[in-house]
Amino acid sequence: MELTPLQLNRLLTLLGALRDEIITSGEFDELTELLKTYPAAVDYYLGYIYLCTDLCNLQAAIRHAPALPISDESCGLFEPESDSGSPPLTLEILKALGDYENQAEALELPPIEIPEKAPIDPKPVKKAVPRVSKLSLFSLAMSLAALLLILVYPLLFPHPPVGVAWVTDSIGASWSWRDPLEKGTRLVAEEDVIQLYKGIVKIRTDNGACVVLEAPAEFRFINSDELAMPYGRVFVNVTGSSNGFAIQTRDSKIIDLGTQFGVYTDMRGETELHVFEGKTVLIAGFRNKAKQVADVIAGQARKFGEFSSDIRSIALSNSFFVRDIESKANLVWRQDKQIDLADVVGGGDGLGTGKINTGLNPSNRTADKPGELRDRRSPNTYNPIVENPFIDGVFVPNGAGPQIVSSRGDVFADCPETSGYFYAEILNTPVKLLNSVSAANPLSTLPGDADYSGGDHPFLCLHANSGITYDLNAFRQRLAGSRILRFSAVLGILNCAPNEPIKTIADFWILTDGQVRYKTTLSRGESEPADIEIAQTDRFLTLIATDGGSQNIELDRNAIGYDWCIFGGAKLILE
Amino acid sequence: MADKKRNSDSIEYQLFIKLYLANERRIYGFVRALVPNWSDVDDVIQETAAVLWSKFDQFHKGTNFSAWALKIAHFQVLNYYKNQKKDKLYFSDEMLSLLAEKNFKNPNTDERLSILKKCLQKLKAYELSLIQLRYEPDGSTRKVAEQTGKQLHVLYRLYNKIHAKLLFCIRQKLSEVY
Repeated sequence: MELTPLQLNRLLTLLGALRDEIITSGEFDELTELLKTYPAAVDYYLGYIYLCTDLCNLQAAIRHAPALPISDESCGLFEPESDSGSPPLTLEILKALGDYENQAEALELPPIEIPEKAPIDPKPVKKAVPRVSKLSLFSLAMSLAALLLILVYPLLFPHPPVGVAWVTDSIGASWSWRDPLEKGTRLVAEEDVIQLYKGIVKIRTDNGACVVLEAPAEFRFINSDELAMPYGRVFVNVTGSSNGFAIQTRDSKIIDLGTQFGVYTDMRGETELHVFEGKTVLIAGFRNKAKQVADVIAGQARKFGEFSSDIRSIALSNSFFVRDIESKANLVWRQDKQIDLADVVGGGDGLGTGKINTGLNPSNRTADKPGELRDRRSPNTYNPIVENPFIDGVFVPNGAGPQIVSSRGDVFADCPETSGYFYAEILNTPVKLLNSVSAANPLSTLPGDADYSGGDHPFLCLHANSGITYDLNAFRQRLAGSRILRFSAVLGILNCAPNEPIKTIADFWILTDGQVRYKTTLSRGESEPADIEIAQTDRFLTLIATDGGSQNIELDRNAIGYDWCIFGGAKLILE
Repeated sequence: MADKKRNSDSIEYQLFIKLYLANERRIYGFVRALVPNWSDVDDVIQETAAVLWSKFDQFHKGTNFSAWALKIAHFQVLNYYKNQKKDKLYFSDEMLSLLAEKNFKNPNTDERLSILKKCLQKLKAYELSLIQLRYEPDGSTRKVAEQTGKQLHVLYRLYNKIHAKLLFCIRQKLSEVY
């Protein structure tokens, strides 16, 4: 199996790191994997090793070759190199390897033939007087020196690369540069393309355009207003830019002014343009093809390329391009239509990047072990969550006093009196846990359309008594341009309690800004859908499960026995 | 015989040196391909040279010195792998044997060197100068970056290009020869 150019380039980068002895163990594993998978990679590997060995030997041979006679007229440019240190970066050195063959072999110059002349009687000759003035000679020498300097200067001191953009964020990115792709990396306008092997990178140009590139992609900045991308997927937001922005693919150029658009082009040249805001001008048909020019406006998408030179209309895809990333929150936003609130509890961005079976302790008890299951009493203090921007805080409601449900101080005035006990963390899709605590009645027995037992359908698990508040403004800020319309979930209680003597009952509460928007009481095995509208002015969304009181004080003193409250498919629905 | 060997003026020793130097690049390449920690390669080579000399009386003169030397070098590499250290990188047994097998079959090094010289002539002047700087004794890409003021990643890309050019050129010319 042959290597693709991308793979070969990566192999050479890894071999360069190996040769420089700066290869990491991860990169070494990558190298080994390439060698294992591609027989051609082994040939390249061995070829490279022998190439390095031979080049080392050649270089050593050049260094130890006897110095050539130095002309007195060398003007110091071609000084013999010293025995120690690296050679100076002169033109002679630049040519040294190229001339190696000539220098290594003995040069046999043909003898100079001097024509025979008739013998002339020696006569005293008057010393010749130079016909050119010294001043002229000096001027000529200076002119030649100046000319030489003009010619040589760009070679010796090339123009410094021009910075045009900054990397502002990246997630899982691996690219063809040795330097890590980190926030703050400066990108320069260069001839070579940058290959993004995997991950996503967000870049802001010096003119304020925001560019999000997805792997696999090749790109280079021509300047701060133009990006060349032979293949890849890019979303461009030019709304903050003072200038327009243009994307060049192999066969097209897309020019825009103050818009949001995405371009996808594959290695064959098939290209799609999706315009989300404003207007773009599409020029398609390079490489000796007839050019076509079309205006593409917001809500439109076009396709063109190798297989059809015509520009065709296609359906606009809102979620085809990653529009924003936030590595700290592991956020990858594709303009999805919904935010999974259980995923957010698992540390994700609401788009499936969180960890299931993980969660948050509703109390602020540092003594609790992660994942601990036991009845614990807690005061009803509101515990802000600082490490997750989307979760404002958590609490254990007891109704003994004003129940604060947000960092702003919103109060849940209707909070019922509870035992003040909680049993488990607030969890993201704890299929493993719930299937094990209820082997006889696993999650698959929950009523409703979805089978939650396999982990395919996310759900938020709030064992009574516990509550969680989401910061809707944090979502709005991250998902600029998208409105939150509704919250929906299927509420239910796991069917795991024995029928008698305990009758499991729990209350479900859905609040915005401390105001009750939805309340229901369910018993074991029951479920019902909940759907509420979210206004643009709503700041906080709070979900609460409280015990419904104890039905058997002897067996369920804390009133929370088997109160596994499920918010199935809990999500925010976006515009 | 042993006394004779110790005498560096002996004909036996002169012959050994001649054969060893003629094959030194081949041995270096062979060991470098199997030992990813290049700073350890010299140690393995030194041990290999010592063993070659100590066993030189077992070498049948007139047979293939290169093949014999590589077998001993391979044995020394396996010895090196027996004493693995935590902070070093090593190929798996499977990969090591694959690389060794392919490595034994590598073409004649003199032929390749002469081809390389021709291929170097096809490079541009700045590419040649970069190669020269990189392959200085104790040279590294980082040092070249310091000397030239170029960014490390830019140099890696340039070196990738240059090495690829040379590899393709050598491949093509070798295929014409063999």
